Amino acid sequence: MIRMTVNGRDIELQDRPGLRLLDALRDDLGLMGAKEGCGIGECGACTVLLNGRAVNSCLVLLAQCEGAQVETVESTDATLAVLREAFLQEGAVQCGFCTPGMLMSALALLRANPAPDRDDVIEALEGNLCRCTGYVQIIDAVLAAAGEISR
Amino acid sequence: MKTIGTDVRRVDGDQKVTGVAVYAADVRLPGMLYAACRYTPVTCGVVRRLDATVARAMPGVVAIATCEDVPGQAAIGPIRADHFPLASGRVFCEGDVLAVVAAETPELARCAAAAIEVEVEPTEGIFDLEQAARDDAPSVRPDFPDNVILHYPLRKGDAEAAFATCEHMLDRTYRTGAVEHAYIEPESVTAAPDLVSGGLRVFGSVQNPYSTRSAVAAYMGLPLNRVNVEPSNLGGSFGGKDDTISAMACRAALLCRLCGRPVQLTSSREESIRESYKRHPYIMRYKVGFSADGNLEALTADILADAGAISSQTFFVTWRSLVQATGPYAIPNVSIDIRGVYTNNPYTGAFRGYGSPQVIFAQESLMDEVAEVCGLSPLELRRRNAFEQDAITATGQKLDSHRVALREVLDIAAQRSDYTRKRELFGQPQQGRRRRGIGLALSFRGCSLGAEGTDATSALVCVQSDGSVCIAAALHENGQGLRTTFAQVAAEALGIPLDDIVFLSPQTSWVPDGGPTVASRSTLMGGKAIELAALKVRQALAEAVSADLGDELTWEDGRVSGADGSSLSFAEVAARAVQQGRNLAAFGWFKAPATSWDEEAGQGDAYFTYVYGCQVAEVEVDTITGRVRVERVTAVHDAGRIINPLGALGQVYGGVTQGMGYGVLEDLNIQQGVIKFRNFDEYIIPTAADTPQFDVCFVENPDPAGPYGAKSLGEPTLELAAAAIANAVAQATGKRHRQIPLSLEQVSLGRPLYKPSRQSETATASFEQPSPAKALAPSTLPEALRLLQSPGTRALAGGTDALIAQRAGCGAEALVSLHRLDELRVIRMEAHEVRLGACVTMRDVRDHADLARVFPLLASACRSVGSLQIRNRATLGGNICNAAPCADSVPALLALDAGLELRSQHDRRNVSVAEFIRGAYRTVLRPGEMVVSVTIPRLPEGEWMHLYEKVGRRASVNIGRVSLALLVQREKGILRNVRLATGSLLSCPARLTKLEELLRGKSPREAAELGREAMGDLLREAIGGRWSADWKIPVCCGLLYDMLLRLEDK
Repeated sequence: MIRMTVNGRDIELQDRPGLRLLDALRDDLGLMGAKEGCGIGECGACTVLLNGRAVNSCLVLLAQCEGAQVETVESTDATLAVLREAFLQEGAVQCGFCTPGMLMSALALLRANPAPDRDDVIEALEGNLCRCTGYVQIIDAVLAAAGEISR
Repeated sequence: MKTIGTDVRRVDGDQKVTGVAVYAADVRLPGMLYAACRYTPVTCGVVRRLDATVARAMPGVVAIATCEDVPGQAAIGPIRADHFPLASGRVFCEGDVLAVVAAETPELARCAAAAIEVEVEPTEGIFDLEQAARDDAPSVRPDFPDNVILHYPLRKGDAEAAFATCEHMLDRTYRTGAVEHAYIEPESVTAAPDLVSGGLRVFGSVQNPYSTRSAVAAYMGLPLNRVNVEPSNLGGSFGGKDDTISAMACRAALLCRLCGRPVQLTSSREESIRESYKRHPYIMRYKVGFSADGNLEALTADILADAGAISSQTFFVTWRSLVQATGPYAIPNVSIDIRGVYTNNPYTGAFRGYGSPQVIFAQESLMDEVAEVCGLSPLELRRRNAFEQDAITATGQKLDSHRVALREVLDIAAQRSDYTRKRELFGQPQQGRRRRGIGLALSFRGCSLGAEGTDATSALVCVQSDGSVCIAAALHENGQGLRTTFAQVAAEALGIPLDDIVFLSPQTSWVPDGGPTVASRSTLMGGKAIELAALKVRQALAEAVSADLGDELTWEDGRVSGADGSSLSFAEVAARAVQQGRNLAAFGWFKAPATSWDEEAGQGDAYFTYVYGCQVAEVEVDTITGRVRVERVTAVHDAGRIINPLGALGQVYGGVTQGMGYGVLEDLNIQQGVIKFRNFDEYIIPTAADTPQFDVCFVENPDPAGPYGAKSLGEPTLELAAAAIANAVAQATGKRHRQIPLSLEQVSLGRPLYKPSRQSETATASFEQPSPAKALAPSTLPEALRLLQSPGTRALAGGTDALIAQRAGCGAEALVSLHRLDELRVIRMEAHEVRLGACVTMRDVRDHADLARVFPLLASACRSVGSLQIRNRATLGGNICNAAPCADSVPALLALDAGLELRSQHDRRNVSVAEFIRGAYRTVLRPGEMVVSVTIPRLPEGEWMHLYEKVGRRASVNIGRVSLALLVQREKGILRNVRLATGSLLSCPARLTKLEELLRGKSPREAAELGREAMGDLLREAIGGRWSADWKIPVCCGLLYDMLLRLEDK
């Protein structure tokens, strides 16, 4: 059994050979927000926070999560709520498939650096591919959220 | 207007930002099975044997289907039925599927698919487009023997005769390649029994629900009313989720029928890239005749389009190319021939732009070439020839139905981008490594389907008794924002707030077929259908209150007002109408204004209206590496009235960025019909770091046909960027490239470079089957070392390489995860050395201020590893042990003379990093042994310079193409100590000690000259015969020269 907290809730899950954190979240916990886009850590659609850091959950085994704190886009975190609002306000969402990963990368950034500049945002998001938006409104949204939080 | 033209939040946004929006692969139904495909092992051939006996007997396998099980038509296709969802005796391209399995879990389905025994006898394939088009070429498809699928002519005036009298003529050939839609969501589809109709329900990532319905109905031998397609939220499409998802839906439907249970088929990224269709590669030979003062007099174009092995949308894609092949220029004599041709390459179909980005690249490059001959600025040449109001196009169409805004967009783009001044500035001789250029491209684009087919669509508007409204439409939300735009149109027509409208999730059985969501027609066509439906309902509402408010009504802000100022709320009006028994539901049907077409001459009114766009790109080109950085893009578009500026901006940013990928980055590396770049590590698209600065401007000339004057935007935004960038690169480098992408090699050498694949390698890996490993998590180092004693085990650190190996089926049986061993994550800054635990991550290195201060070289190298997510996991120890030629941290560690401590259960030894790595992916690590720490000696006192250069194809998240780590101690203007290491160059990262010796004691300038020379000699000997040598050798020499020279200024 693997014990961890997911979005603040204590969870116990049965491990299976090869079981990725992504599968455990989606199939065992029904948290479908994290998406699989490439399976090799290139697209970032599966990004979640593992002990506060953004990771590709397709490249983490559940077995590596014993005692860990996992946060997903389904979290009720207050900063995440501000980011969500900013994403909608700035037009940062189109198809929405990359959005959960984008939000989680942005959340990790704002926790570590509440006043990021544009380059900081780009560094935080460079591992999240988006094919719809050209990134501009996403970057703007993260900066707007940072501004909102600091106000 | 209240809603139209204001920034509006997406009406479907909340579900997307909370993670609850259901995409195709999120569908879960009771009793659902999972499917997996067995792809052909060879690109083209005859199926000799297919035996599923073993697979069928595997646990959890419920059904296996082949072509023989198909109850209806075995082949589907939007125009020509030549697409076999399950191969019938022959395979024509590497994406063909022989059989499909349904099992209780995805893993079981994949195992069973791999266990199906197949023999396919290879046949000679045709992969060269020009060869396939020849009369004497063997048939790609014996069932459709003529490789030339179509040949469309266009004749206007007499081009050949006109050439004879032209002062100048240019004859140029341009080429574009196949590219991937690269929607981030791979395809997924679920078929389930429909208990009501006795037929099937289909859920999935479906762009065009009616197309998928037709395909499944034909395949299953069902009438259309027994196939109900209920599309899921679509994770990007761009034209891409049409034929491929239809074929997958057919397979899922067949399995569902065989099992009586829901079946879900989801592609991995590799399968998606393997099977899905691409943008058509084109070869375009243009001839243009013109006067010395730049008047275009005659133009001919002979265009070949590679259809791949399935015709798909080739018929229509090429037709658009034909109509738009001259670009937006009035040319009296035009002759165009375009042919779509079968090859055994991956098939090609609809992709945002739809035949326009190719011809725009060619024809807009050509215009710059013409301008150069005439000594005119590209802007002036375009001004002399661009369509004016009432101009006659190459198809003989008079542009009089709408305002021709071409000159408007051109002038505004030129002015906003400061084109003329910058063109002059960048035209001066430029010094230094990085050169700048500016380029523009101009286009006209026919809206919607045009004369290619029936153009009509449908929508429903239903007002409830409390005044709230439901709407639905045949066209589907692809992510572009259609739900929001349509809701805005309905809100405007009814004079109510947007919040009072709900856009339903339409199903094909509920809304009549309104054609496909393509051709940038949604706002124009679907929006109009919504408007018409809303106006019908409004009429019924008006009649309900005419006794009270009169006949002249105003509908605004949720109130209906009469001419005398009396008013009722919209809700009250609705309630009264319901009480009076009036019908408050209406069906809107919009049929496009007439078009006409003469196939023989290629003449007619091709589209009922057009949009106009101009994009200007500013680039910086690295003359050493060939890397193109797009700095700034000015995009000016007349798309008619803009309904939602926020969404429209998103279309431009996204479209330009895709166009930039097309122009600079994207390449599938297809060899002998086999795609070599099958995932996003090699098929690279722009990242957030590649985003240029944007200046976007909309010129809004309302169109008489569209809803509130709106036209089209989605595709025009994509089609121009590659051409504008190519023109900018031509200015920056003084060299014109008539082929895209403008990759490092294309820009440096004037041609792309690919690792040649032997014939034997082109038989594709038949299956990617993960090896599920047991993972152990020891809590102490001794325990970990004990576990590693067992054969078949491997240490697992960050997992960013190891888990990818597991996924590819070449991993270990058991993994010993080191994540609990805190001692391996310690960084100790000691007096004479720095000691880093093997599990220190790339992120840790970068975040450690002291470390980054002492060894900036290492910090830079670690920063260049992958993305932040990867750096958060990837460890130094893992990077070293993986020993990839491109391992980013290793050249820095080599230059720093780092050492390693290796431990096994009973042993411990120290080796240097240099001794540790023996070759590509080879180390001296013994079974049971692991790296526990990395030790870096502090540098001796002195003035040390750390220089790191990694060349990648894009701005970030790169597999290094070449890297150099240079550490220099300078003393009195000479290089007292030099350490130089390379990555992605030799078979493994290595120190270049001979070169170091040579450079020692020299001034930076002497060293630069000597080093460049010696680097060339060294590399010619070491890698001279390699495929990549023509690019790598000069690049390395240039980089070293530049780095050493930089020491002069420091």
